[in-house]
Amino acid sequence: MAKREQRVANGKGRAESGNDFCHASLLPCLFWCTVAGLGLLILTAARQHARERAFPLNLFREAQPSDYLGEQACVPCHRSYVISFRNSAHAPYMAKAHLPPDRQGCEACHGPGAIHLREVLEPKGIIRYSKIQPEEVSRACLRCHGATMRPSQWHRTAHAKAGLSCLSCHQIHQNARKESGVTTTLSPPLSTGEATLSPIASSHPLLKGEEVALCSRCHAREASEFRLNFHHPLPEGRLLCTDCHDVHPTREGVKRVRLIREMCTNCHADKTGPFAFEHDPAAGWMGDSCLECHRPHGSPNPRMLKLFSRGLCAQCHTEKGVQHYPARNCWESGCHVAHHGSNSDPLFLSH
Amino acid sequence: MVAMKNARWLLGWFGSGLLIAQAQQPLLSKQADTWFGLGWSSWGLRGSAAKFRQYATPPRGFFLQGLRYLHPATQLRWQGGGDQDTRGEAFAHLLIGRLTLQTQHARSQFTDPAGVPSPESERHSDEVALRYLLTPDFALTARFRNDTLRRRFASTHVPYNQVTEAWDLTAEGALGAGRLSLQYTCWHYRDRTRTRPNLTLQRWQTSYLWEPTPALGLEVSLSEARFAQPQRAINRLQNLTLFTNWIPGATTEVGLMLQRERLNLPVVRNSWTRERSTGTLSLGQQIGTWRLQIGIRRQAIERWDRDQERLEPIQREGIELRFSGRLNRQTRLTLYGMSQRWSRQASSTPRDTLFWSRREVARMNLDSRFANGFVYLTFSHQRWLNEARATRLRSDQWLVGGTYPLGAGLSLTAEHWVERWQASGGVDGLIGLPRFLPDTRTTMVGLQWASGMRLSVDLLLTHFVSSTDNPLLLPDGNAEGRFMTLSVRYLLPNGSAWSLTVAPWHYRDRVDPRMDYRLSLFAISWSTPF
Repeated sequence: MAKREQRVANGKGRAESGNDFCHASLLPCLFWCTVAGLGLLILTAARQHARERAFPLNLFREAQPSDYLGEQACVPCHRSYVISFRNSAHAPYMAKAHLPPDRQGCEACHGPGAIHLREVLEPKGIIRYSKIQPEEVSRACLRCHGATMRPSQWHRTAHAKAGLSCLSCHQIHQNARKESGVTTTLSPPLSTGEATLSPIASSHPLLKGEEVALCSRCHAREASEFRLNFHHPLPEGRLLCTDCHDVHPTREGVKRVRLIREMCTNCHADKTGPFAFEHDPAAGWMGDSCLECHRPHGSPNPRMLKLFSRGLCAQCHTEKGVQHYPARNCWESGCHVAHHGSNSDPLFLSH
Repeated sequence: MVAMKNARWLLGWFGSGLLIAQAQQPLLSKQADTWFGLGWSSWGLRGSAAKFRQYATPPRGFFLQGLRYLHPATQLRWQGGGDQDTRGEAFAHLLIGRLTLQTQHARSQFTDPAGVPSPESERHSDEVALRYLLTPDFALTARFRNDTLRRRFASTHVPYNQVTEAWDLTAEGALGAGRLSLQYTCWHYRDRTRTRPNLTLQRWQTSYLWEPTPALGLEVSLSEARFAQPQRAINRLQNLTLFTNWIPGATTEVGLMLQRERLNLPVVRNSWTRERSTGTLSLGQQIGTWRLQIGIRRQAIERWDRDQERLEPIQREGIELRFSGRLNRQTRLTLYGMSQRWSRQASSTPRDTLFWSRREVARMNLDSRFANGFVYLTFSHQRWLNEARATRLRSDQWLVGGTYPLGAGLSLTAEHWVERWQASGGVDGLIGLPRFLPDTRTTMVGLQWASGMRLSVDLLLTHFVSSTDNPLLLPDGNAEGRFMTLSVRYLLPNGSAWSLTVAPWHYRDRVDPRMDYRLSLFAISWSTPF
């Protein structure tokens, strides 16, 4: 063993040993066989999965133009649904004659009517959104909403990973919002049901409920933070969750501009920088950026800080003890007033 | 099998028969919802108006509650005309649904929370957006936003008087077997106090997602941003990102993200990051009704040191785990854990040990539905460690709540939230880190009662307490709030409604009584459809 190590160390070895020669020719063979095997496995799995994923889009692919019967054909059995759809915000996009038949009316979402009429009891003959899997719902919606995102972009979202679908938040037929009874219980300000005194930002008409209430049904912890003494003014109706959070990951183009640091600088523009003297946590490239010091949903501390007063600075600047001017907060004492970054002073003593 | 086919045929025939019989019946026309509301309110405020008006200014005297016109193709809303706080929104579909116009105007007045009378601050924003569908799958969007902020503080803080204007033009939608996005953004920041330099930002971004099969997606995104300040060098940022999603089976999902950001910031005179590379690999696996997700993340940073003499390589690694599923048909459980640490720290100066070397997060969510009721329990634990400075910080949050129907139109909602902090290390003593940790408790109880379709009563009680050692005796560290809001609404047969709101609120600062306020709000409003 020691001699072999010596040969390898001397750069001789491999060609001189019969066993090593075998290893030399076997290893690449094994490697390529493994790669080929894995490739075959992936291809087989992908084909199998593509077959499994055929529904519900196969209904549209396999349909003939004559299979689309038009909205009137749905009226005899589903009259109330047709009416509620016509009153929804979805309707103006789908009720126009210039659209292809597979993008019009009920059949744009539920599939061609003739297939349904031929096989009424066949569960895969029509798209019943209450009966199909979240992934199938999303595929059906994204068939038309290509300008919003594609299925693989949806799969990257936290909501998709949590097993939700478009219909977890959106309603297609009108009045589901009122029926669902989704109202907010965030106490301040003076908003209870219709008795809202403050002007509030309105939610998207295709959502199931008022946006803040809808999000807080799952994100209860975050909603609770808005009850704290200092918070972003969501309960006051000045903001919506989607003003900060991109639920649709590709919609930044139709939302507000997004800058290099955080979405926070959309509204807090004076913190954008770059500054001549950057404060690392605020600069945002080394840690959690604004979240190093602030709690964006709410905090018991002024300015929505993580810790109270000097404690915030003391969490990192541990050497600044009792000798370091303990009068007030580091910034309200009139000293480190430019702690987000300064253009004139390396210690952030002036802007 | 034969019976099933016959049944389908019969149902199909029956459906066709109905179709022939009822096709001629007209559908109801599209309904518009128009609504108008007026009100009167009195604050009955004693104590700090600045604290009460921290975020918003509710109306006093007569006010316009709202004017609303809702139609599937057009929506108009106006709230608070004549008051300090107003908001208007318009949304319209034009040109056979191809063009969407959206505008928004908002103005709000607020004050810096203080124990002394505080000067008034104001923010107003205007936004207009146009979206045109070139094809059903491809859209052009143009958006303009103006945001003006005049903010004044009770303390010595330099006031804000700034205007931000932003233009962005976007073309995005389906193209080939994928999706294309092109975007240009131009953003101006102007400081009227001349304290901070003006800034013009221009950014170009392009991305293309290619989906060769339904199970595979590859997206490449490239952007460049240019930051210009008067009489200073131009700063630049380039970003290249690759996303990959692969679904090898019905129960498995793999994701990979590689990102490289390069900066050139010649205006910066202390340390700055020159390059940051991030890689994230995630795996999701469905195991029966449970879903397991594992993600690993690695970030390599190259930055100039404080004196800009040498480049320091820094590396950060993290792992995330999420396990979620149903314990039974009604009960969901989610467990989440994250651990992150610096695997290579910058060490040229002692200042660089300022960063947390480790961060850990653990969370648990449990919720369960039962007959018309819902309960939830949430626990969150966060820990930060700076090993070089032997500093530790820890936060634990508990949340328990639920909704329970008490019967006959009456339901109860309750929630209790507790947060505790702990710290060790650093400089101890009178003003050490452990003396500034805020412990908080919040309790909310709500009662909703509806008598038929006419009368509804909502009662909401909120109580919060926050406390710290507060050795410097500063305001806002030891506060207590008791807020009660009672709202009664009565709907008349013609669709109009009367609402009465009574809100006795009490805010108390146990260190600085100048912050206290008592509110006895009374408001009455009337709204009617027309």
